Amino acid sequence: MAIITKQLAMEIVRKLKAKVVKRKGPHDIALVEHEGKIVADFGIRRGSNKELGHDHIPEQIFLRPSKARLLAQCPMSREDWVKIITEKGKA
Amino acid sequence: MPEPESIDRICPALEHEYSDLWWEQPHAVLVELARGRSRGRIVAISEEDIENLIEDFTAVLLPRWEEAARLETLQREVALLKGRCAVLERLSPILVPIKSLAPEPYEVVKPLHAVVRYQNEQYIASFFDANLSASGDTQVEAVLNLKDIIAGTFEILTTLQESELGPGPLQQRKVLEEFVQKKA
Repeated sequence: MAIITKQLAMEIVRKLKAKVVKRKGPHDIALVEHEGKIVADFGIRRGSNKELGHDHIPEQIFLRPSKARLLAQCPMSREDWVKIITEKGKA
Repeated sequence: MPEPESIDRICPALEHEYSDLWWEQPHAVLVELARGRSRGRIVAISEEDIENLIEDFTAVLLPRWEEAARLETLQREVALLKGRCAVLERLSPILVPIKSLAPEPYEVVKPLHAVVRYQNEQYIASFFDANLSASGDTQVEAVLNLKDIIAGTFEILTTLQESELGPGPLQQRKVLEEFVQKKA
């Protein structure tokens, strides 16, 4: 069972206020901005299956899978995430 | 009610009648004897007779049972090892060279390698240099998805100014420009 499902991936998109670039291929690409710059990007698989695995996302947003899940499930805010990636020198 | 026959008289007959069954299904013979019957005849049989029979059967059957038990143990161990091998094969990361991004209008100018690993019942293909990954239900799907992500990310990042990119995406773009270019 995937830690990050399609449903949680869409929650992460919403939480990080990511801009989703629609493409012809099997993925759309989500771009996360902070202070006018793109600080992270990740692919969202097409398909209506809410359980579709997206465990590739955590490393692309510089989080451990458990933290990425927390981000999707509410306890972690966008501000918390920005703080983490700033500490890691990614923003 | 007929009189029970003597075991002295009945045993040689039993041995003859049951000679095949004794060695093939001793338990069935014992059960029948224990019920005091033999092919419809009522027999008188003592505990000692039954004990002797059990000893005879044990002497012949014990080695067979031991052999069967050894075989069963070996079969279980082989099945266990097969299962472990399958898990190890799934869990071991593999390195897949990517030499083309077809049908996308980009070409790979320097071979790049995807690392494909099994995680949480799915495969994840990663191009670590550019921090790009994609998931798939199979290894092939994960690699195809990674190729799509590489092409899509390259397409998007190269249309943006460097000043619009944070450290992560800027690094991604630099790495991708080293490995990928738009087809002429």
